[in-house]
Amino acid sequence: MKSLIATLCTLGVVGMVIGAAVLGATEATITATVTVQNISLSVSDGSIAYGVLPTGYSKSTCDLNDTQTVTNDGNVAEDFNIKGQNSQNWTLGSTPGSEVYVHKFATSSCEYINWDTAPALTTSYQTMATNVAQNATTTLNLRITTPTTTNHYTEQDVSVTVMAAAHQF
Amino acid sequence: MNFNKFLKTFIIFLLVFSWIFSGWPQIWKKPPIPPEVKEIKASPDTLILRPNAAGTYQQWSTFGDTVHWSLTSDQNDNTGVQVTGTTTFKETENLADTTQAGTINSVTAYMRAKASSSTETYTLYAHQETVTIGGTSYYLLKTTSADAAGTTLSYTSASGGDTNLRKLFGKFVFQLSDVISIPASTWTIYYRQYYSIGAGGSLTSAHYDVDILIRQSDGTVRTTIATDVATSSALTTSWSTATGTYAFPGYTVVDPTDYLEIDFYVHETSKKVTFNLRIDDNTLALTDQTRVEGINLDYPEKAVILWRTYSTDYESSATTVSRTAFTDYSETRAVNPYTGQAWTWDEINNLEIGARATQLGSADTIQVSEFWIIVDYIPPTVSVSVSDGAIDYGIMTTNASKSTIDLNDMQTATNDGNVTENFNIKGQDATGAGCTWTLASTNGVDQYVHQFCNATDYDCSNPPTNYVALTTTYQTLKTGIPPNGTVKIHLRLITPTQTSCYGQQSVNVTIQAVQP
Repeated sequence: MKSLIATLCTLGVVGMVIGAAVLGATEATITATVTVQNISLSVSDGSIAYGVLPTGYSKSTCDLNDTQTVTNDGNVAEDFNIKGQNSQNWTLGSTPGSEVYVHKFATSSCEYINWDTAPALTTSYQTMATNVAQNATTTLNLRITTPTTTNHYTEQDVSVTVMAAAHQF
Repeated sequence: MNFNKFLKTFIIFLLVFSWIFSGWPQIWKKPPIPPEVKEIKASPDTLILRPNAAGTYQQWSTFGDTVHWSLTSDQNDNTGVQVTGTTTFKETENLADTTQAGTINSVTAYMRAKASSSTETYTLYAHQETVTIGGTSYYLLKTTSADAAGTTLSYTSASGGDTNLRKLFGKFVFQLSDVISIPASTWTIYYRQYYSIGAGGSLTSAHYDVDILIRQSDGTVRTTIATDVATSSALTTSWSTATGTYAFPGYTVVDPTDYLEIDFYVHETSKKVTFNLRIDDNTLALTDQTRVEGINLDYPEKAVILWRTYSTDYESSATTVSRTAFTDYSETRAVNPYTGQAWTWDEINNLEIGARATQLGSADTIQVSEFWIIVDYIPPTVSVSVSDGAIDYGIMTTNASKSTIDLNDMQTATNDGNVTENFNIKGQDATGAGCTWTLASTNGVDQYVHQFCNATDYDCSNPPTNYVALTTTYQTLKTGIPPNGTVKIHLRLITPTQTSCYGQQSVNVTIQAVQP
């Protein structure tokens, strides 16, 4: 108990002395802070191997148990946009055809996805998710439908790109 | 709970309370807990200034040497200035200049004075004007001679004859206001008189005499000093001035509202004789007027402290000067009487202090050995505060600008000191997010710009017009800010063109106050 009182006495005196000392200050500080906006995302695991598929055949990340997770790694709320690409020999389209493949995406969990109505990727960005908070994640499932006919039986690069943009409030 | 336990608990709470409100360490920044100290009060100080040059008036004489100002600044009662017998002469000295600064609370002027007195002898003349005391009318005694056409007070003795009768002619009073005492002296009373004997009348004996007493202002008698004294010389049948003397024993005034009363009587044994006493007749020579000569009246010697500022004289109320020892007399003025405002140091440097006698017998002297002033002031305090003192630029993109106009967060710097101040401003290299942004005039990679604009004097509404880049050294924000004066400030920040750190950076700005 005595040591506690002594400690408090010491701290009180120190506090009072310092408190009094600032009275004579000739400077005043405007505390100012700024943070540069960081737009960033990451996709986990970022890799899908649909494998060898027949023509006119669909397979999704749900089938592969490879649902992707997109994370807002920035420091502001973000909008996620997504686009596909033409592969080496196939054209990205909304319906499968000869040398035309379809790549659809969905942000729902597998059990809630209706692939018939899910949007098809295009080579231009379209909105995937909006106002995703810092560190928040969005589920991304994809389904590829191979061309109805093709003369190309080599591996095609059907990469998907997700872009982050600062959400505008 | 026993007393020791209570005492320990009380001490602990007291110290914790003191610690919290000491402000260190601060418990919470916004709002600040404990609250920021907004007002700074310094302890008053005093400054003594003594004469160092002659003032406007050098009308008093000196004792001890010849130079008035040096005699009244040497703190020696053997030297000084003095005046005898006049209340018109003035004496003032200039005071040493000072470079002191701060807020003046008051100025107290001092004179160290002593008086010497000699007996002043007066003649009191009987006047016909009256004053009512306690419901009774009394004639006045004045130190001035008759000033009217005059009145004859008469009494005719009884047809059957009076025997050794004292008949009152009139009660005359002189108020003792400001009189210290009536020292002992021989009074001579002059009775302007004549008598006439009516048919069948006769005069056996007759003279005038007086009673002397002290009457209080409520009409009651405080003390009777003498009765039936100052018997006159022989009376005459034509106008003449009879005289009688009285050895007044002396009297110390108890109450200045009291009156010295002299009652005039004819003391006679006669029949059908008319006695006449003439008063207040200004056609008579002074030597023929009814009066009392040889009265010593001891009045105090009085003086005022004289202030001379802006070539104008101001006087304190009159004070009685001690006859026994040099004594300090003072008057304090919180404001300059000419301006009605608080004293300034320039006014102090131009101030003259002195004295004038306001009540002084013809042979009386007032000596002043010292003049000085004491200035009570609050020493200069240089202080500045900024309200609200916090800017949050938030999250910005690289190579972007934002100002306090955008944030509606203009800052206001206030001179919290008591002297005029100059404000300087500086920025700092930004830190806090794991990397440093260098403060510069143009932005670049990890290089930012922070600008300020004096919104009190300039239009800051169209950045970057009138905005100046902060540096890590002080630049002038504004000069000549009076106490309580303010400067409005807008700030503008431009983020680096590129950076690798995206955390919150501290981009504080410091306002410095300096005394010009």
